[in-house]
Amino acid sequence: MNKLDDIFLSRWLNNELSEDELNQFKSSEHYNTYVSIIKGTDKLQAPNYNLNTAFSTIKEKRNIIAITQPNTSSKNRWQWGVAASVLFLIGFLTYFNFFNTTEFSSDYGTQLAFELPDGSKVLLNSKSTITFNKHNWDSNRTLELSGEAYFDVEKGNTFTVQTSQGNVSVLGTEFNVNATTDFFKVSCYEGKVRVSDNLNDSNHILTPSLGYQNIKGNEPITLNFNSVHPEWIDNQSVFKSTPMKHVLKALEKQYELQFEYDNFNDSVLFTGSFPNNNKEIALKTVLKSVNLKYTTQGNSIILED
Amino acid sequence: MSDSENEDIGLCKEKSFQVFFNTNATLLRNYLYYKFGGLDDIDDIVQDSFIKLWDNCTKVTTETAKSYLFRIAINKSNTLLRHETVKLKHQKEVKHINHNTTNESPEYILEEKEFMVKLEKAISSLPDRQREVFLLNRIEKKTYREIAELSNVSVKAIEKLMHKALLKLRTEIENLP
Repeated sequence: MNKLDDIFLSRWLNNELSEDELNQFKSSEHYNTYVSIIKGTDKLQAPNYNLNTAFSTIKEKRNIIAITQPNTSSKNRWQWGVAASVLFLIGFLTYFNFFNTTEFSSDYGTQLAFELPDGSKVLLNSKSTITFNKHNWDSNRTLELSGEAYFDVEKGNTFTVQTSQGNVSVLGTEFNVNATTDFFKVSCYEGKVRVSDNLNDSNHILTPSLGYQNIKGNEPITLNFNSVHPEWIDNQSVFKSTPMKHVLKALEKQYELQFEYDNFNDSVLFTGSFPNNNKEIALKTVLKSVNLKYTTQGNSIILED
Repeated sequence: MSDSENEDIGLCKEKSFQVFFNTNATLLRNYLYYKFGGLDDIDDIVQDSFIKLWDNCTKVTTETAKSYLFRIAINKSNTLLRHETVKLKHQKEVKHINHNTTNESPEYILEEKEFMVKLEKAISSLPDRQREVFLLNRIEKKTYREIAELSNVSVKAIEKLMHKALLKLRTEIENLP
């Protein structure tokens, strides 16, 4: 009789033993213990693993890593020294450039696309302005916005959008900010956004498909949306529970208009949209929805009671 | 093998990355768990390994991603010195008892419970590699070839480890009081 080899237990599990080998194994005193081991192990299982929570943790961790990764972490001490003295020198040089800010503005009904020094992309909606200092951009990614813009931010240190209504700061992400007097709306399309609202001194964290809107005289609201980028990029202006005053302002900015009215209650809330490329339809959709008649005089639209 | 996703759209997009994650995460997690024990550390390692893979998504193809992922995870785990006991769940026990109340004596059930305790002790006492191979084969139902591919060794090596694992389990169980 052949002696069983040094992997016969593996072959037994795979049903690879010959009849002779199997009989020999079955007659051994340990056979039953092996069978019990296999049967017993069949009843065991690893603790459950929740794929969904694990995946959201991964997405979260990726963002946190972006926060905690200082872009200077690899610098050695002597490099810091060099950096410090260079900074001292540069300080003198940049002093003269310090107020030399870069400005981008879009006109009525136009959009403007441009890149920031780090490759982050900005799309400016009509009649909006962005200013920033490109000389210290890498160390201080802060810009000022008046109006509405969509940002696609490259990963790096904190990126801050300052507006008269509040600040929005992010790491690497896509988001939209619309800030004019008494109107503040931020929508997050990718990543994570922190909104600091100056109006009520509150902070909000936005994740994709979430928005925050605070319009003076109304309760701040959280918005849920499905779009992958702001509608205005597709030539649509969309509003949710927005006072007519701000909808009319948006029309003015889009079509270079001036609304004139006396008795119209412009705090009526409007939920809907208008096209950005057809003035007649835009005016009709907005004004008909609130049963307003109007007459046009050049760039002026006179609303009748 | 069953995983024949021929969509070569790359792993950078969240959708495709999530598909890859869903097909491989449980196996990676259990693989590390069988080998090292300690759930919290393992979960961290699994997450960090996927993050690293995602960050390097442009450098791998759908074919190389899996072995790259396992390599990162194994390297990370090896630096973790603190190993904990592997605690397994009794998935079918409840069903099993209900099913057998009519034809099995209480003595038998007690005996079986005692055996399970011994078996789990014996499994915990296996050397890492043997436990990993044994549980991947018995619980995850991975073939020797699949296990060999995960850790980049020959099928023969896996057969030897498997044999040794069974031998060790048997002697442990027989020697336990």
